[in-house]
Amino acid sequence: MKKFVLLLSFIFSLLPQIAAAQRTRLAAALMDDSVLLTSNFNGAKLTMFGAVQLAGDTNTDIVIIVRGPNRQAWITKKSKIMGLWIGQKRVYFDAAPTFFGVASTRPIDEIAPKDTQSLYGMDALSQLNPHQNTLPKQELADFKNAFVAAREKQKLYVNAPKAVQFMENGLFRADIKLPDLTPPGLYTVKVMVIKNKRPVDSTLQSFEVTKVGFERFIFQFARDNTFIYGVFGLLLALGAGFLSARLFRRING
Amino acid sequence: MEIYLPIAEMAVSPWLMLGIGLIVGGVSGLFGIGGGFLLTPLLILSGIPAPIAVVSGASVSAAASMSSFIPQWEKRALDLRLGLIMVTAGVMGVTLGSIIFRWLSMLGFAELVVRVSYVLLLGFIGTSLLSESLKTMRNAKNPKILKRSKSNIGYLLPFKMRFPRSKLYISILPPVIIGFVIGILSAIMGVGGGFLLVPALIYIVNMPPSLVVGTSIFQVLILASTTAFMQSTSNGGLDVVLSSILIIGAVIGAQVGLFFGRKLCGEQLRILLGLVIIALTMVLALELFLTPKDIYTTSSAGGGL
Repeated sequence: MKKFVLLLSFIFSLLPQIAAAQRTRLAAALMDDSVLLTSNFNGAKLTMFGAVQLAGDTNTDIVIIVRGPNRQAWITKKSKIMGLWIGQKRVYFDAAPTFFGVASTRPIDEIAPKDTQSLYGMDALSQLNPHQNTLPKQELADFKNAFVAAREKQKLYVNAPKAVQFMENGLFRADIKLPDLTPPGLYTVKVMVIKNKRPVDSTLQSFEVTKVGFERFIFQFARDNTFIYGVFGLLLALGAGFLSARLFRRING
Repeated sequence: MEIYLPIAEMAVSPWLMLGIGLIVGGVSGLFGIGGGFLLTPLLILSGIPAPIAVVSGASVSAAASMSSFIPQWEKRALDLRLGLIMVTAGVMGVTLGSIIFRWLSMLGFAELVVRVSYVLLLGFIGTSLLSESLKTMRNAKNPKILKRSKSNIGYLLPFKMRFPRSKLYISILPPVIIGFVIGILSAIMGVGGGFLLVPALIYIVNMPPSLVVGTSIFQVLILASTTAFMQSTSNGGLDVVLSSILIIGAVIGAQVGLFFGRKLCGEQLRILLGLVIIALTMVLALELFLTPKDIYTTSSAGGGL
């Protein structure tokens, strides 16, 4: 709560400067600059506050794009061969965002046309670059759409119209949900002011999602000492089996 | 309550995972098979990414078979000499199987070969186990015709060796070939091979039934341990938090399974195993013919994404 008060006072202190300026000006800040993946992590809420000068005209929108670290990903499509579901076709994406959240004041399609959306990276679809692709255009589009749909189902690609809410004096607040699958890494948050279907100002911020404590230790150990980790994993399995056999023999008499 | 998995990078319900471990361990203890063929699909069904599910499957199979192996070892209910021969051939089979698998996937036939051979093989084993056991049970009332069709191929082939524990003097070729073939199949199909080994030991090697479960568990223990270690060092997909929860369930399940296994006679056990295998075959066969719920599946490098 202390943080919240600090944040608000910071934004309020900016207000006169914003109002004094001629052109649209934007200020925004995240409540937290890190999200910790603890052992009971099952999602988090990302809160952002900001202020924008509303120069009289009403057609002003805010779009916030939260983007997680990129990772190589692929999508496989099953197909029928000789009446059996055994065929498969695969499309690789060199760098697909692991998380892609779009929060806005209105549905994004009402705010900007599709080509503006992809030009300014406001939709997940435009962020997928297939690797060495030879498929026909339509089929590739189907693959991309299916990929986005699958990630949307996992709540990793999120579209949240109305997640950004204006309060008063051009102040706004946005809440974006991060799912339990939230991968660790550096996240960027781009806030854009859109007037008459065109972006007029933007800010870029970042926050980090990190594992902590025991989880962090295991992850790093597994990555840095692959061999020892493998031996340890095997000994753990065999030891547990051995111990349980001994224990149960005692119980059974 | 949910718990966060550091390698899989996702949250799961520990109770669900414990339950899956119990089921798999129970099957493993009851029939003397690894249970990997059940665990991996169950994990994938509950949302664990496939690469993690495969490694966890092998690691849990290793734990469950260790738990079932100790009591068998203490009772000396296994033929170590025969087991070692089969394991050696099995490891060589795994090596060749991996090469074949890579070759098949290069040609784009991997999925086809795996799925179809699964259905054919399991269907054949399940039905023959069931029909043989039913026949024996029916004939048990009439002891004069109590006779199971067994192969005498081991007595005919060369390279004979004495196996005092099994009271057999047979050629080492059948066990070597069985071990090798099961190694190939387990590399291609990603399973421990116990469900193939039990019938093979009974019908082809003519091993005394009291030694079959112990010897088969021995083979599964070694193959599953090798696979778990190799996979975790080469792909790094072993999540110790996930496998610890699964293992706790599995080792308890294995003991429960062993307990009930002792209450049932050999024929009943074989009928039950036959039914389990036939049920699995049905599920796999249906998957081939029915339109899948999700035509698209996604995966990604590293963790759950």
